[in-house]
Amino acid sequence: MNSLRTPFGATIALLSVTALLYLIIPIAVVLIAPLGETGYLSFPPKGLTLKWYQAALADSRYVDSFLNSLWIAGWVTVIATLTGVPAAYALSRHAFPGARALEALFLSPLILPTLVLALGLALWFNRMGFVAGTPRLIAAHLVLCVPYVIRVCLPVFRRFDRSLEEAAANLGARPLHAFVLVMLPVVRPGIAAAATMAFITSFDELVLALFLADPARPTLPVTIYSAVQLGFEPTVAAVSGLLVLLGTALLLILQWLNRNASQ
Amino acid sequence: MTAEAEIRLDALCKHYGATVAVHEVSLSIAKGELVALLGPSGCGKTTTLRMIAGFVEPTSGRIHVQGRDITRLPPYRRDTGMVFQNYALFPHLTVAENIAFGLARRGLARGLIRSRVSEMVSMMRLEGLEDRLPQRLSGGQQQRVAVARALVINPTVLLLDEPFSNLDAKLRESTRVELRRIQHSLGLTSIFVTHDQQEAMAIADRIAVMDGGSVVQVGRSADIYERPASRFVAEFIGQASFLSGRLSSIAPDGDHQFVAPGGEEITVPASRCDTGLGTNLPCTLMLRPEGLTWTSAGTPQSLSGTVDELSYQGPFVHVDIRLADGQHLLMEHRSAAGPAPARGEAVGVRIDAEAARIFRSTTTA
Repeated sequence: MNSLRTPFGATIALLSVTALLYLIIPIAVVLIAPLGETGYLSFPPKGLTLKWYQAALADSRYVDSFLNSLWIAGWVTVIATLTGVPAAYALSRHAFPGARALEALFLSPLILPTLVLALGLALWFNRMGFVAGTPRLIAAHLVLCVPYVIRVCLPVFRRFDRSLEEAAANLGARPLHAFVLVMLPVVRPGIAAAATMAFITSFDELVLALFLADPARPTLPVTIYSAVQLGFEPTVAAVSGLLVLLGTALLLILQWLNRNASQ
Repeated sequence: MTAEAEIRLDALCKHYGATVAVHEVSLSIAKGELVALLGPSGCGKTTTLRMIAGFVEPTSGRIHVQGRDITRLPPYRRDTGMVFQNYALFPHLTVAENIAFGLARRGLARGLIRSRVSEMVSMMRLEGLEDRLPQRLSGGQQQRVAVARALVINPTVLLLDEPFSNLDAKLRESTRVELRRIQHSLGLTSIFVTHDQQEAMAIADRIAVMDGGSVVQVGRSADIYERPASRFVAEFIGQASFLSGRLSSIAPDGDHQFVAPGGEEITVPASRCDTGLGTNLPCTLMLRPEGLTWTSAGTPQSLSGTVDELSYQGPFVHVDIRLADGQHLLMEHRSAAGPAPARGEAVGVRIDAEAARIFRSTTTA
């Protein structure tokens, strides 16, 4: 706190506060704006009502696409974790020929612009006769999410102390037991973070969904995007506000779980 | 001893490409014996231990435990208990769960596991810590949990990889005495790896000194200290001075006559000399600091020089003596015998042939 008195410390403090406000204000606006009574979005809101939030929750377009997104993101998370974790494990353990090239290949979808990926996938899927629908979007999201899982898990697995596995083997644990009883619990926070990343990426994803989703069953980002194109009605902001609340709640639950686990 | 050897290593080799980590290590260890693999880092001692545990597959050679060839057995079938250098305690399991791990893998009944764990907890003085996670234990407690976890499975051999290196000096001493006591009372065959020669001498029944992947000498602490097989062993174990010189003659009774560059002559019996030494060839005289006594300059079997440096050690003073030819000699002066000579003083030291040894000169000498 003493550093606040020096010009350097004061500058740092000012910069930090500015950065924090810069991050928080848009979120606050999204939460507060739909509380206004007017039929258009304005900030600060005029009057105080929950009717736009109620309208959002009652609107089947939003509720259906929310459930659809949840369903897709759920599958993507499960499949991406089940494939990404073993891939990261193999990459962290075995120096097989081409491992480096494979690692780069797995990470390439993260570097590629999503629009390029979406176009390529759309063309290719059509050619393959893979019709629009939930499985097609799940497949597309996996191209994006498996690399995320690998990216998050790889350093965690590389940092894992291998003498723990040796100790397990030394005490009589077969390789599978050693993995399940020792490695998995130790790297679990890393895997949980990877799964969360996969879920958020899929749930939040717009471009691939625009190109590849079944038009009759849009995801939530697509529904919000279409609604915004028609004008800033307060219901859209209310949906966004609800998503912020949901995200915050999930974050708090995760932290609470982690704290309980570490005690 | 080979017949009833509990553990037998037969020409064990480990090569990594062109690099030789372990070269033809053969060693027999009797039941209940505590053997130290001693050497500088990179000498192959840890690799040898890891081959016995099954973590490293030997390039060639055999490992027999109780007459059974276990060379190709996976680690989880070997029945060796290992204490890792970093202890490798499972961070997500409590002390009791860590200790129970090996018993649970052996499919023991819950009640039996519980009683064996509590037995081990009291033997290793871990009472009250059963429900703690490893990260909330002190270094000494972690080390005891690691030992308990390895002992509880009743291993045929206990393997210890630098088990004391992460403890502070005071704790290290008491811990090794305690480990020695437990090892004795259980009659447990043990192999431990260390780079600390004092530690090895203090607790091992026998020491295998390793260098460059090979065992260069095996024997009891006293054997190795008093009769080092090479200059490397003499240098690595205990303190010693090495003087270059030559042999003037070898008497018919075997007495070797060493001539220092200053002209003084020292007689060393054949039993304390390398074989194949020849007169007038250069050689090295090794002297242990405690084998030297003060004498007046010029008496037979003595060297003379001036005191260069003194370092007080409590029960004795280390005196660094510079000989006329510039070579240095380390002498141990017992504090109880009165004050040590002052710096710059001219002194003579008598050599006790029993603490001396003559080696062939190597290129490094």
